[in-house]
Parts: sequence; structure tokens; C-alpha cells
Amino acid sequence: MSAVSILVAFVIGATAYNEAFDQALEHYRAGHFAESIALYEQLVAERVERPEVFLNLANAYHRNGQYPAAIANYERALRLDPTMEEAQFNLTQCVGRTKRRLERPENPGWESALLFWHDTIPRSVAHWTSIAAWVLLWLVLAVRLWRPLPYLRLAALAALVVAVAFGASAWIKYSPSPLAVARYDHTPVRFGTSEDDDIRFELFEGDRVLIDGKANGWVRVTIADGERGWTRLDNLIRVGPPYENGANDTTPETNRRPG
Amino acid sequence: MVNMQRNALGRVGIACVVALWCSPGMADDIPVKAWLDTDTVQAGQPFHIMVEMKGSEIEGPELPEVQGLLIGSTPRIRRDSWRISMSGREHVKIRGYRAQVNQKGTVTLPPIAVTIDGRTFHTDPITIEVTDASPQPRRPTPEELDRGRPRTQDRTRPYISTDPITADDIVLLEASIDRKEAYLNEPIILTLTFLEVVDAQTRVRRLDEIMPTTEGFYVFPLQREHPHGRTPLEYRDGRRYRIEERLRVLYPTTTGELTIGPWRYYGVATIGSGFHQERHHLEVTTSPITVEVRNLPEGPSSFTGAVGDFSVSAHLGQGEVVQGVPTTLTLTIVGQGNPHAISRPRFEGYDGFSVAAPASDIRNIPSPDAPTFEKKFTYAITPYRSGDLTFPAFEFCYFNPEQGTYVTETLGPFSLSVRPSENQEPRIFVDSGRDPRPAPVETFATGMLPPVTIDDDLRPPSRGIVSLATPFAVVFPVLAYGAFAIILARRRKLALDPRYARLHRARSHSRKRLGGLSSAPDPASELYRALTEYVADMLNIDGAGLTSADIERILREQESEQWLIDNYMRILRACERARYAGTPLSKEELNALTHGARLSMKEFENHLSQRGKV
Repeated sequence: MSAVSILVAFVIGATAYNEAFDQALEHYRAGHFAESIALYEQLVAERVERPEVFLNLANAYHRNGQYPAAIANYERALRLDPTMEEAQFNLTQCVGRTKRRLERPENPGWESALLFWHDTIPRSVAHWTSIAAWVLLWLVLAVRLWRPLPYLRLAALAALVVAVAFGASAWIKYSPSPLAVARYDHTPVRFGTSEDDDIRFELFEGDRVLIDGKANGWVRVTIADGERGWTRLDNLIRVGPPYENGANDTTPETNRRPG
Repeated sequence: MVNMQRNALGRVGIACVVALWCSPGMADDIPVKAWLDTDTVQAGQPFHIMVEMKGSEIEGPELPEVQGLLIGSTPRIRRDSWRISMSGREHVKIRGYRAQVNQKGTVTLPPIAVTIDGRTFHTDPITIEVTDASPQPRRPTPEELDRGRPRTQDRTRPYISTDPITADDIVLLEASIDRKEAYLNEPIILTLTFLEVVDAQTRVRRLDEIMPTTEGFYVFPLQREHPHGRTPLEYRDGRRYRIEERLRVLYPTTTGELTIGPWRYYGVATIGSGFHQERHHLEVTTSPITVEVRNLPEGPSSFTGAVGDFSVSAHLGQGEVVQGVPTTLTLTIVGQGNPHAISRPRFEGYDGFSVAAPASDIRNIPSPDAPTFEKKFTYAITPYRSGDLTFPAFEFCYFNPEQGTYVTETLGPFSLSVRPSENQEPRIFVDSGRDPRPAPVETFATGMLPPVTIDDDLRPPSRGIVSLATPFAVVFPVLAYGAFAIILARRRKLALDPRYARLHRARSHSRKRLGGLSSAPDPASELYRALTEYVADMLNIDGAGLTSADIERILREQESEQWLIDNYMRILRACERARYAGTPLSKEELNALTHGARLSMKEFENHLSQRGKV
């Protein structure tokens, strides 16, 4: 194939991923939300981790009445692009349809205090800014070694501060506090990791929780008001990564309301 | 005896006091009473029915239903206090229910039943005399408030009410639209204004808020920034309010009468401070708003869904291309209207081109007053013939709701100079420019924003490269810096330390010299100099004028082995013989001597190395 043909094919042709995306959008517009969800989930399984994909997937779940999966996917979109207005708006709408309309649990206090500035910065921006500042730091140090010009020490210090700050931001964005969304209504949260333990409180469909401990298929969760307890991991959709499929909506026996 | 009488009298006195305190009069034995919070009740004016209840366990009150008297089901005034008496802890509960009578006359409120500690008590009936509504004192008009009221006072200061704040004054909601009639897809601006009273004695907590439903509309939120970033304040009826304004652009997607649902607010307000606090449950609602949506008149075939006021332009990316190489045709639509409802225009009558499906891009242009968008359609147009081609003009049609007519803009034609391609292989072009499907417009009962499209490549990133890139980017600068530091240090040592520099140069110089022997005019002298200068450089001594005897002495001083000294001497003397006897060295001799010189120099370096001299 000649260079011209390759160029023409590149411009005209779409990748299989783009075709799947467009098909999913068509299904959505036609009101076939289940088909749309299946295609978007396939894209996510193929590691197409783009905020647009998560937003559209969340919209499809939202329109299909599967609010927990919708909330999880809006959160995923916002983790990749915190400035995405569509995801913010639709997430608010979706949370408004849950029973308790619980706020998102807050991040640890030290993180909010130190990294108050990084909420609206996409993680790729934080990542590459940190790398650029790191390279710049060593470049400045090398120049200083070769010829100690004025202000180089200050420049190196500034580059170090930027590299560390954005590096910490990127680190937290790549490994954020494990957020999860309750799949079912009346999900029991217990005092311990056994079905015999007393129920401390209940989660409702769409409630967002922070996971801060794990043991034998159980996770310790904290909700927005600080209440904490243990529940089975199967009761939650983890926001991830890794991105698990939120379509599973079979209610396990253990989730039935006691009494 | 006297003491006994005094004790008896004391005991009787205490018993009397206790009996009096516990008597019905002291204990206030009517645990339930009701009254009105006003002396005069006017038709159509709200008032409060107050009920006071005392006891440990209080259930009720059960409010009776009375013809002509409207009573709220939940209390608007709540006051609670506890006191300790001889009979134990007592709860005093006062509840105020909002009530209203709409007609003049007499209304009797029957006894209100309350169950206290298992017993049922009743209040006394209340006869309410309702008079005609007297003319209300005129409230200031908004214009007067803006200028500052009253006129007789200082005009620079707004009118400030001295009436105590009531629950109705605390939170106000206003919902309004800029037009009551609209065409399908014509933008309507919904303004939701939330006003919260600013008062030192009043605290408000929002419990819940239900936004108006917008079924049948495509909804887009608008941001309006306030000057200096401050929340605006405004005076209403003599009170100062903090204002929160939320704007939505609604695009009706169906015809007929559409309703924007009520906006509801639920909250709790506390008025007063210290022990004199009143707690009020707030429930504020706006009225639903109806919009009459008209269908668009029959339009031309070039109409593709744009409704609003737009300006349109189109341009080609390049005016000159090679046959088979695509260029772009960009159509830009800027204006006020729903960009998601605009489909690509129809292209007709083009020959010699292939047109691919366009990429579309929507951008919100910040505007404080009206929602303005820019929508771009970018087509890849590929000429498959060479020569001067013309891409024909096309029409873009939109409906202007202000004028009530369709406006058709003609764009083009576009001239393109196409050079022939060297590659004459047949190509397949995907042409999708002729059959645009109208973009479906979603109806959002949920008020959701629609899904987004992607025009760039969705291929997942190659994790191998990405995962390696970061460690590489972190480690490489450190290694590069280290290497640079070593090179710089070496260069500085070479410049500042002659002994190190000569030692460093000795091997390369001698190797270079020995390599060029065959082409040298006097190989014997060159070999001689290579050996003597090598020794001088290694030991950092002056190499000029060194004889074979000097070299022998130096080698002995360095405690070299005898065979090495003998080797050196044999080579040097052979060179001297050749130089002074006038008989040049044969090729075989020169090779043998060169080989021997290399070995000797290597051994000498090893020897110095063992002695720690290099």
C-alpha cells in the first residue's frame, strides 16, 4: 500500500474501537440501553480508559435505571477528567435519585490539606508536569555543574518543588482512595467479618463508601458521616481501577433484609 | 416541752408548704391549653393556633377539621422546655399551627384532644371572630426598593423593615422563563433564583432540594459569573437576601403544552439566640410553569434541524492538493440554538470527489446573557481526479424563531487545484457526504446531559511503552547527570593535572605513532621517539633528548625486570644503528621491532601499575 493510500485510509477509516463507540452511541440514541452498555463495557474490558467512554456508559446505565453502576462510572470519568462538566452534572442528578443521596466520603484530611489545589487537574497533566519538572531539575543541576550562573539554585529548588508536588498529586490520582458504590438496597454493614456479627447500619443502592480495610472477602467501609463497618465485597462496585463490570445485579442471599 | 412544741409546729409548717406546692393550683393542673397568636383575625390572612402541653409522655395534638377553617398539618412554630417538679421531669411543649379563614364571620375551633401520660385532655373551645381584610399597608415596589425607601427618608439607603422575621421571610424561591411561547428547539432561559435572608439572628440549614422537572426539554446549564466573584445581595420587602441564581437553557423537543415542574426546598431555620430560639421547618415551593411549544412550519429540504440565530462560514483546508490526498472542508456554525439538534448539511452535485463522514465538535462560547455555541463539521474531501476542480456550493438552512422564517445561507463554491498522483493504483473511497441522517434529539425527563462523541483515535494506549516511559524518565536524567558530572570532572583534571594528562595521553600517543611507522619517512627515529616519549609521559619527566642510556637508567630506577630492560635496549639500539649507520630497517625488522615495542610498553605499564605508580 502506498503512502497516499495509507493516509487516505487513516483519514477515512475508523478503528474498530471508534466503530464500537459509535455503535454504542447509536444504540443509546435509539433507546437500546442494554446493547449500548454491552458495547461500552467491551471497550472498557479492552482497556479503552477514556472519560468519554465512562461518561457514556454511565449515561446508559442511568437511563437503564441501574444507578449504582451509573454512579461508579461517573466517578470513573471524573477521576480521569475532574473538569468534565457533563459527568459532574449527571452524577448529581443520579445521586439525587438514590434513596439517601449520600455525599461522597471525603478523602483523608492530610490529602485535602496538602493537595487542595489538585482536584481539577487531570491525572495525565499531573503526571507529565511532574516528569517535566524532574527532567528540568536535573538539567538545571547539570548546567550549574558546568557553569554556576546566578539563580540556578533557585530554579532547581522550584523545579524540585513542582516535581514533588505534581508527583504526589499524580501518585494519589493513580492510586486514589478506594471508592465503591453499594449495589443493593438494605446491604447490611456489620460490626465484624462474620454473618453472625450484629448489623451496624445498612447501605442503600448507590451509596458511596470508602474502602479502608480488607479481610477474607469482606471490606471495611466508611460512609460520608464517618460511620464504619464491614460488608461483603460482592455488595459493592469498586470504582477502580481495575474497572469491574457493574452490570451484575443479582442480589445475593446475604443482602436480604434481616427479619 | 417548748422544744417539742416547736418541732411539732415546724413539721406541720413543712407539711403545709409541701401540700400547697403539690396542690393543683401550684402545679398548674391544666396540662393542655390553646390560644391564638393574634387578637384580630382577618379573612384571608394567616394566623397561628398555639397549643401548649405539659407532661412526661405527650401524644398529639389531634387537630379537628372545621368547615371554613384551614389548619396546617405540621406545626410551623415549635418550642420545647423541660422542668423538674416534685412529680418528676416535665416536658412543656408548645406548637403553633398556621391557620386561615377566608370568609368573614364566626368560626368555633372545637376542643383539641391531647393524650398525656395515658390520659386524654381537651383544650377549651375557641371562638374566632373573623373580620373583613383591612387594606394592607402598601408594600414598596421593587423600583422603590432599588432606589431606597421610603421617599421621605434618605434616598441613598434602602428601606429596612423593623418587623420581626417570620418563617415565610427566610427563604424565597423564584422560577421564571424568558418566554411563554416558543418554537420546537427554540432556546428558553429558565432562571431559578434562591434568596436566603441575611440576618444575624437567623440560621438556615438546607435539608433537601428538588429541582424542577423538565420533561420534554433538552436541558443545558449556564454559568453566570458575578462581578468580583461575590454573591450578590438584594433587598426584598425591607430585608436583605443573599441571592443564588441558576440558569438553564431549555430546548423544547416536543410540541404542545410542556410543564416545568415546581422547585421545592426543605430546610430548618432557627430564629433568635440563647434561650429564646424558635425553630421552623421550611418548605418552599414555586408554581409550575407552562410553555406552549409550536411546531416549525414546513421547511425547505436543506433544513437539518438548526433553530435559533446563527452565523455560518465554510472554508477549505488547502487550495492545492495531490490527487488522492484528502483535504478538509470545515463548516462553522456560531449562534444561539441547540447545537446537538443540528445535523450536517446535504452536499449534492459534486463530481470527482469523495466525501467522508464529518467529525463534529461543539464548543460553548462563554456569554453572560445568552447561551452561544460553535459547532464545526470537518469533512475529509478527497479528489480522485486531477486538474482544477470545483466543489459545488451547498446550502445551510436554519429556522429563525424571532422572524418566524427559514433562513438559507449558500456557502461556496470552492476551487481546488489537484496535481496528478504518481501512484495510479485504483483506490476505494468511502463516500458518506450525500445522505446525512438528521441527528436525533433526546428528550430528557431526567434533565441529564447527553452522551459525548469522540473524534480522535480510541485505540487503548500501549501499556508497554507507557509503563516503561515513566521509570525511564525518572532514572535517565539522574544517570545522564552522573555521566555528565564524571566527564566534566575528568576534563577538569586533564586541564589542571599535567601528570594525569600525560599519563592519559601516553598510551594513545604511542599507539598512534606505532601505527604510522610504515608510512613515516624515518621509521627508526619515529619508533625511537615513540618508546622514549612513552616512558617520559608515563613518569612525567622531560622527554626531550633522552638517550638509550637514560632510558636504561630510568628503567633500573623503576626496578623493572632485567628482561624488560634488555628488550627496551635492544629495540632502542637497533633504532640508533639504523639512524646513524645509514642502513634503513627492512620491513620484517620494522614489524618485529614494532611488535616488541608494543609488548615492552604494555609490560612497563603493568609494572608501574603493580608498583602503584599509575
